[in-house]
Amino acid sequence: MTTGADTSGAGPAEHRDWGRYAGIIVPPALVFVAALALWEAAVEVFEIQRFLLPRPSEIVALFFEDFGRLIKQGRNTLGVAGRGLLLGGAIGIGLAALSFRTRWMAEGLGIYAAVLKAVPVISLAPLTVVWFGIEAGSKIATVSIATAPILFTFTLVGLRRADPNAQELMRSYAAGRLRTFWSLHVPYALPFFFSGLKISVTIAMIVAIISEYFGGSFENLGGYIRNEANNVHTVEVWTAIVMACALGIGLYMIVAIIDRFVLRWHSSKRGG
Amino acid sequence: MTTTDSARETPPADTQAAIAFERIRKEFGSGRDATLAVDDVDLAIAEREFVSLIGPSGCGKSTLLRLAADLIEPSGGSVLVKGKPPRQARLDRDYGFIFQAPTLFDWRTVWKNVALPLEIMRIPGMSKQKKQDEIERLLGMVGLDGFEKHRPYQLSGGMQQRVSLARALVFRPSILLMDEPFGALDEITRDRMNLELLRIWSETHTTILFVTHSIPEAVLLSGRVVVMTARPGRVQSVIPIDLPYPRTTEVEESTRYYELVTEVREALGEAMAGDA
Amino acid sequence: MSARIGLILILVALFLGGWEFLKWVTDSPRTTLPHFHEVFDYLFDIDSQGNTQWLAIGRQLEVTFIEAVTGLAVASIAGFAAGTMMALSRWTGRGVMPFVIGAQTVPIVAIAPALVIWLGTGWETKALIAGFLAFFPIAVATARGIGDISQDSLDLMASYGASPLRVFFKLRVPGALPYIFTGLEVAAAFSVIGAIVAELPVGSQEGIGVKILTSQQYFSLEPESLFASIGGACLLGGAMVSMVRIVQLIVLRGHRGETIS
Repeated sequence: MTTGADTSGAGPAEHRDWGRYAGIIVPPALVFVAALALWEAAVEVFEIQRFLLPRPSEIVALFFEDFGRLIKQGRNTLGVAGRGLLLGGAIGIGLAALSFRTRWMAEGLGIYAAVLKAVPVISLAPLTVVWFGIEAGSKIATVSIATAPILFTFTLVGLRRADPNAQELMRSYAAGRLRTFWSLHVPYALPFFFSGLKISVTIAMIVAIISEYFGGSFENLGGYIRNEANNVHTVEVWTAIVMACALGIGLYMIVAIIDRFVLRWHSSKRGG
Repeated sequence: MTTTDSARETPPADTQAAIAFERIRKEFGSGRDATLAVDDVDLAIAEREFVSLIGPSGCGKSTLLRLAADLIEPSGGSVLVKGKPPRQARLDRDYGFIFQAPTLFDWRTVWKNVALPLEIMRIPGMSKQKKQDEIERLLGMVGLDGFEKHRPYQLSGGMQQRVSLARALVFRPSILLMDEPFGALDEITRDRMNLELLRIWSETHTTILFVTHSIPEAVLLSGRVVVMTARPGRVQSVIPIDLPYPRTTEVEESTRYYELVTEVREALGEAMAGDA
Repeated sequence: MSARIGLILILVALFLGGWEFLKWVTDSPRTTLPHFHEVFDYLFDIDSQGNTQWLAIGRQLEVTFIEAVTGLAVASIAGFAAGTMMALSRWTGRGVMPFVIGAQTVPIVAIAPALVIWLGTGWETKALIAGFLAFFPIAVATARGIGDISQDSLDLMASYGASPLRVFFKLRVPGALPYIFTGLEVAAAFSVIGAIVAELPVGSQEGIGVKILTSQQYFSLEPESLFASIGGACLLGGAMVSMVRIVQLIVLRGHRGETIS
């Protein structure tokens, strides 16, 4: 616990350059190694059966052995997640941009978005299968249903955040609606949009895998997991989990880096 | 003109100073990036004295205040608050700190915000009834009767700062450390708050160390004005304000007041010139 | 308030109108999109056990509800504790936070079967899986809320000589509550998803997830059953989130209304 008294204005100079990066990388790396060691030891000591919980060393070995296939399956899943995200983003952001000036419209759409966020999206998967077929179409639809309301809410809040003074300033320049939208509302919305996007990418990955699990091709991570789990091939299942996590974290990090790059000017990104 | 004691200007050696800075130094950061915020400051504030710190931004006024409050620790030299190290004074609840932002808790009503210090400190011999009376009295004193049940965000900036003042007074600290408390207020509200503060000061016999940007405010309020230079923060000069207490707005029309304002302004000008 | 109720009524009407319009425009057969009233009528049909369908669906919902609520409760306690630790201890925060974000990407469908084999097909297993999914939003929100306290407020508490415990309960926790409730809302929705996913692996007998799967199998014969079951699942999600909202309204009476993080 930190004490209330411990406020001795930590100098900004203490953590710089490589020291700062080491501070970000070393602790999680230590935790990761420790967790793996503990896992390996637990399997050994408690003699846990292989089909229940395999050893991490075994999973890693098979992961690299099957790497080619896992990458191929991962690419298919990634394609579904990405396209679903694009569609959901287009709908969510489009509706936010259309409605943010009109109060009743934004509020009405906001209620729909709130309902959609409360709805267990995966329960819709069987229906999307009926409408869009058992293959990619239905899965893309489910992903976009899951991500559209998130991106809508975040973008809407951001678009509405624009400083009223700045809005009056734009008026005084007799700037047109489109001009004001691009030079004022969009910059204000960007940080919120990126927060929403960070949440959406992980959700897109999970929903893609779950909807693949519901049926269709085996040539993707969800389908592979379904097939191997049915045959109690636990190690294989775990290699797919590792691939799914790696892709999920990778996507998240790409968004986080773009976020940092695009929002260099933004105050929340300055000074660590 | 008053001919009262010169004790208002310089504390006599035999009585203990309320706050004493001795050769105090404060550096932020370390190595090449270190900045010297305060360098070699000697300053003693007597009991019941009202002292203002004024100077260009970056002159370490707030740093001095935070050193006295034990919110930061000095890099060299010593601070004594009522003859004790600041940490002891903090634990003994010897001072109340008033920030530039009112720093009220949104989730508490005005009443409960003022009651906060009493919830945290155990004050011997203070019954529940007495606490309630005290809060009521203080809210009356800062002119907030009838706002007990309001939330901070429902009040204007001036009212919020008055809540913060009442909160600082509720546990009767003998010292008030005020960090530009009225800096964010408009001129009219600020004038009213200044007069209220003077009245409270004379009623409660507290020692006040007051950081400000405003020359007229410093002259109106203080017994002494300490002018500081920036980078590093040093004491440029100490100007005694020999205007009689109690002061009202009429003081601001006296010739002496203008002379003193000019004197502080010139000292400040020299401090800024040294900076450039 | 009444304007809001009016708006919601309009939205419901728009939804139903949109449904029927879509059916008419695409000329969908009953097996793609039944009329809304057909689904509604189905609720009052009698099933093989002699119960009305709405009662049968309601029973399954109850099972899933208990799983989800238990999971949410456990996740709240664990998530609050973990979030607090991450916020207050720099090393825990730095060491664990990336995994908390990473673990959210673990496909729950993949570990659900393993957990079911491990712990059995009882409702407790499903509650655990629901709790697993609900844990992360709560932990992340708590960590943000507990950590995001203004320096002035902390200095103020320090100036009172407040003990760390006092600072925690008088400042950090109340200050974090709006964040925590934002996390709880997401977690409530996730707990229902977790419970449903946990019901999917073979061997499960009960729950709305099972009901949806069986309805899917008999879809061509009785499409209304799938629509009704999915509708039930959606209502359950809505009910869970509303529950959190109501608690939030009561607990955060005095807080300034600002929910999005």
